[in-house]
This record gives sequence, structure tokens and C-alpha cells, in this order.
Amino acid sequence: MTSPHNMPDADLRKLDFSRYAEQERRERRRSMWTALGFMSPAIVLVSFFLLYPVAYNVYISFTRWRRFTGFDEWGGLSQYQRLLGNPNFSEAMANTIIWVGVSLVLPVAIGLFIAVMLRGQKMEETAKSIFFLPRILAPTAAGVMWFYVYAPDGVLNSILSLFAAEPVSIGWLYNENTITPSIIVAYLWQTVGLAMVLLLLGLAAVPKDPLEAASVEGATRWQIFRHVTLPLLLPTILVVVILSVLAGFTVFDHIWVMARDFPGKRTLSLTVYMYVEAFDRSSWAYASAIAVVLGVIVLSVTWLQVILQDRIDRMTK
Amino acid sequence: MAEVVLKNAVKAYGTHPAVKGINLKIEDKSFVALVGPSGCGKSTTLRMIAGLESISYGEISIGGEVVNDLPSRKRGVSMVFQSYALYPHMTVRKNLSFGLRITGVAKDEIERRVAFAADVLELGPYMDRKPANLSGGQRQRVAMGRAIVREPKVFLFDEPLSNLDAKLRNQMRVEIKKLHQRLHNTIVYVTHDQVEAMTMADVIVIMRDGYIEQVGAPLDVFNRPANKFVAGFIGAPQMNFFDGTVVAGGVTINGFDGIFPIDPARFNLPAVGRPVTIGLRPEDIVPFGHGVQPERPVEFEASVPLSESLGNESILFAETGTVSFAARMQQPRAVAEGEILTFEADTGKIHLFDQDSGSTLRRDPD
Repeated sequence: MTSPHNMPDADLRKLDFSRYAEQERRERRRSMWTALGFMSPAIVLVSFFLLYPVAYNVYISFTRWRRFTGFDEWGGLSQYQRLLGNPNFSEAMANTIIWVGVSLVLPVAIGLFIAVMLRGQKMEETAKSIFFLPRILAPTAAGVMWFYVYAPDGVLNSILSLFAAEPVSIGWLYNENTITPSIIVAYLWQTVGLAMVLLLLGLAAVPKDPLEAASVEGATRWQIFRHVTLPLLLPTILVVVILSVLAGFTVFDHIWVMARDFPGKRTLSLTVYMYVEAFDRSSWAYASAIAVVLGVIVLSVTWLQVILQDRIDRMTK
Repeated sequence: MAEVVLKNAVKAYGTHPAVKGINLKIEDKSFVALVGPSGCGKSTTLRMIAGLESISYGEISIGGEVVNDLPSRKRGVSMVFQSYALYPHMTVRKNLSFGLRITGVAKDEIERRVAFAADVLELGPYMDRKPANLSGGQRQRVAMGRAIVREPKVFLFDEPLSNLDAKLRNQMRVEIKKLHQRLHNTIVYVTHDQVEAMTMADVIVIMRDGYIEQVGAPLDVFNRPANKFVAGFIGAPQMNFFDGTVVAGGVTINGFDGIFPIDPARFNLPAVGRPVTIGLRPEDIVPFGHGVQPERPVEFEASVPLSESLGNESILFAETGTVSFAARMQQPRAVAEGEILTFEADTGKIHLFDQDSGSTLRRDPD
């Protein structure tokens, strides 16, 4: 371009662009240090209260540490070998897998069903609050409440007695076949509300126009839901599933409170097993190994989530 | 046959009527534009035809069949949305074929129609892309393609060009017009842009506040506006309105001493001394020597404090005494701020409106 309004090309070519690039790099580095400065309080807190305990926990799991003897010797992988050989661990693991399987499907399925039914209804706001209400209870409080619901002379058996010829007194929380399903019902009662609220938010964020376009294009309500709403809701569904699966791995309070009189309580989940080993039996190193195993599993699931999230994002964008 | 007929169609939201009982017959194969300012009820009317809004009162029929209680999907219409409303998770190809797939159209028929639409709209290179990877203009084409493949009786367009830049909008305007000439479907086209309505439609329906103000061919509406609102809405820059008074042999603009002679055969003139609203389009007030000399001019001088030059013409914002107006300067030259020019108003092109009701005083037929 040669015109009095532009710098001559020859002059432009003479400029040392690497100098400007260096300038820019320096500025970027300076702003990174500033950012680190602002983040440092958080970094210190997270390191001290999270990273350090986690690292220390991993360290303990490789020792033979017990409460009263304290650290006596390096144990290597011995705690992990104990874990693998222990039928209690397998049982706790199996029960945790049941919890995870249930958390994978039920909260999102029930939550989605309620959300779709409620969406756009007159009582949406009221119903939303009612379904969410159990969530604000402390899990232990909810557990105590349900403990009495399930008691042999509790509410549930009283209701069942109305339909049966003779008084019913099932020990819901005393039988190994009924205890986990019973706790799961109580757990869902408290957790489905959050899934529903998140899914309602997700539904509200689904753009309206494509739904209308689909209805003009000949789609029935079910087809619109199946082919347009559901795919656009996938990111929310994934968030709900991940949240509930992680909660399923770490469920503790409900079981701890409701199973307090159940003899086999120890193996009802990995978290309970870990707690009992650590605080009742003082097997610190062994409990730490359980924690590490649980941590690794949870991290893997989180990693899976990142991959899935990415794939779903690419699908919907 | 796909004429669309609205009989006393009302849409009420709660107790508030958005469309207030309109009657309209849209002929088969015609291109009808619903135009009006925002909130006038034009989009609501379109959505009632589409079945996206229920009809509170009255009747809408498509191709002779009353559709009041027919769900959208059974009305045989296609709609192009302002936002394009593409399915973000589907490729262009799937977007185009979705409506056909779910209604069970045979596979080779789907392929034939999708190929046709892709060809007409030149979508070939983008068939496997998702909407997020398309430009605004391309998305617009996909939205139109999706409407075409269904071979509908009626096309409904809801401000389809508002999200495009000016250049693309002009281009798509021509394309939609061509498409209509090629496919011969009935088109109902909603826009707030009177230029779009003027340039594309066979018939313009001007709406305001839930009522239809006027229905007519573009030139008819332009030359013989039924009232002051239509006169002001159609045409850019908009018509100049002046408070005037009836005098012997014509009208005069208050604060201005010229008399505009009026042919009583053309206008129902109120009694002498009565107020009247006078309308003159900017192109009918010609700066002397710039543009076509009016046949029956009223000549006067005015200063020009502001002018907009558009290259091929300039819009002059002029004032004389207490009266200010816009005039169109063809074959423009630079005008100095405050320069005094001689103007010629074309009395043959004058519009007169009742000052209270705003209705035209023109006698019909002209």
C-alpha cells in the first residue's frame, strides 16, 4: 500500500517484531505473578488443610501406624495386601458399588421425571420448594427421623398394618436384605430435590425456539422431548449424574445413623468401613489405605467426567 | 389451494388483547408482509397461524380447513424464526431432514428433498457442520432449507433477516423473493422493516396496537395511506406532518404564509378555518434545481441547519419560521450549515388527514 495514509512497507519491514513479542511476554509474566499474589492466601489454606493431609494420609497408608503405638515401622504395600485379602473390604466395596449404581440412575431419573412434569405448571414454584425442602435438613437429622419411620413399631409398619390382617413389625433396619434399600429410600428422599432443581434450571436454559420449530415441523411432544430437549439437556444431566455418583461413593451419615443397631453395619459402605477401622479399631494405617483406594476411585470418576463433559460439549455446540 | 383466512382473530394474554379481532384473507401463492412497530401484534398473528399461540376468539383457516384446534404439526406450515431456531446438536444435514425423519417420510424421498434444498440454497459444502460452525447468513439458509424440504402449503417467516448485517440482508431479500418466484408457495412474512415489506411483498398488511391499519399493494399503501400512522410508517425518511388550517381554495401550514391549493374533487375538505394535518414526503419538497421540478409547486425559502449526505442523495433538515421539515436533495452538492435554499413543495403530492382521527381526507376512488 503506498499512500500518504499508510506507513511505507519498507519502514514496516524494518521494525523488530521479536522485541514487541518479548515485551508482551514480559507483561504476561508480570500479570501472572500478580495473580499468584492474590491467590496465595487460598493456596496456603488449600495446601495446609487439604494437600498436606491428603499426602500425609497416603504416607500413613504405607506404614503400620496404630493409635497407641504410633508410627513403628514402614509397612510398604502390606495394608493394601490386607485390604485385598479381607472379605469385609470386598463386602464394603460391593455395597458401595450398589450405592453408586443407585446414585447413577435413580436421582437423575426421578429428578428428571418430576422436573418435566412440573415444568411450566402453575404450581411449579411451590412444588419445587416442597421437593427441595428435605435437602435443608442435616443428613443426620434426616437419618434419625427415618430411623423412627423404619422402627419395628414405627410409622411405616403402622401404615402397613392398616392393609394387613395382623400387626406388621418388620425390622427394616435389622435385616441385611432390607437395610440398604431402606436407607436408599431415605437417602433419595433427601437428595432427589437437588437433582430436580438442577434439571429444572437446565430445562429453563434449553432454548425455546428449536422446540417450537420442532413442533411446527411435525414432531409430537414425545419426539420433541426425545430428539431436541434431551440432547440439549445432556450437559445438565451429566452434572447431576456426576454429583450424585460422587455423593454415592461418599455416603456416610445416613448409613451411620440409621444402621446404628445393625450388627453388620461395618461393611455397609467403604466410608463406614473406613470410619470404623480408624476410630473404633484404631487401625490408622489400614483406614488410610481404604481412604486412598476410595480417593483413587473418585478421582478416576472425576477424570471420566471431564472426558464426557468435553464430548457432550462438542456434541451440543 | 393454501389461502389463509383470519376471521375476527383475537389473541388475549390474560385480560390484555394483543391482537384485537383482525380479518384478513391471504390469497394462495401470494407474498404477504405483516409490518408494524414492535408490540403491534404481527408476530403474535403469525404464531397463531403457526399454531404456536392458541386463538382466543375467532377463526383461522388454512386451505379451507379451520385450524383453531389443530396442533402445529398438522397444519402443513413451515416457519423460519428470527433466531433461526436450528437444532444445535445436529449437523446441517440432520437439521434439514429432522422434520421428514420424524414424520416417517421415505429415505430416498428425504435424500431427494434435502439435496434439492441444499442445491437451491447452496448449502452443499456445509452439510456436515453444526450450526455453531456456520456464519449468520449460512444459518439463515439452513433455516430456510429446513422450511423448504417439508414442501409446506404455507411459509411463515418471523423477522428472518433482522439478525443479519445490512449487506447480507439485502442479498437474502433478493434470494427469498427468488425462492417465492420459483416455489410459488403462500408466504406470510413478518417484519418491522418497512423496506423489506415494500420490496418483497405483493401485499402489505400494516398493523398497530393489535389492529390492522391498512392492507394493500406496496405502491398503493405508499401513495394512498389510509391514515397518518401508515403514512408515517411507510417510506423513509418518514413523511413530514404539519399542523394546518383550511383556507379558501386550499390549506395552509400554520406559521407559514403560502397557500397550498387543493382540488375539492380529490379531498373531503373540512370547512374553512378548521384544522387539518398536512403530509408531504421529503421527496416532494425539492431543493430548487436538484431533482424533478414539481408540476404545481409552492415555492419558499428555508435554512438548512443540518444535512445528511448519502452519496447519491442528501437528506436536508430545514426550517422556515416555526416550521421544520426534511427534504430529499437529488443530485446532491455540499450544503453549508445554515445555508438558505429555495424549495418547491409539490402540491399535487400533498396528503391531508383529519386532525383528530388521523384518517385520510382523500376521496375514494382517486
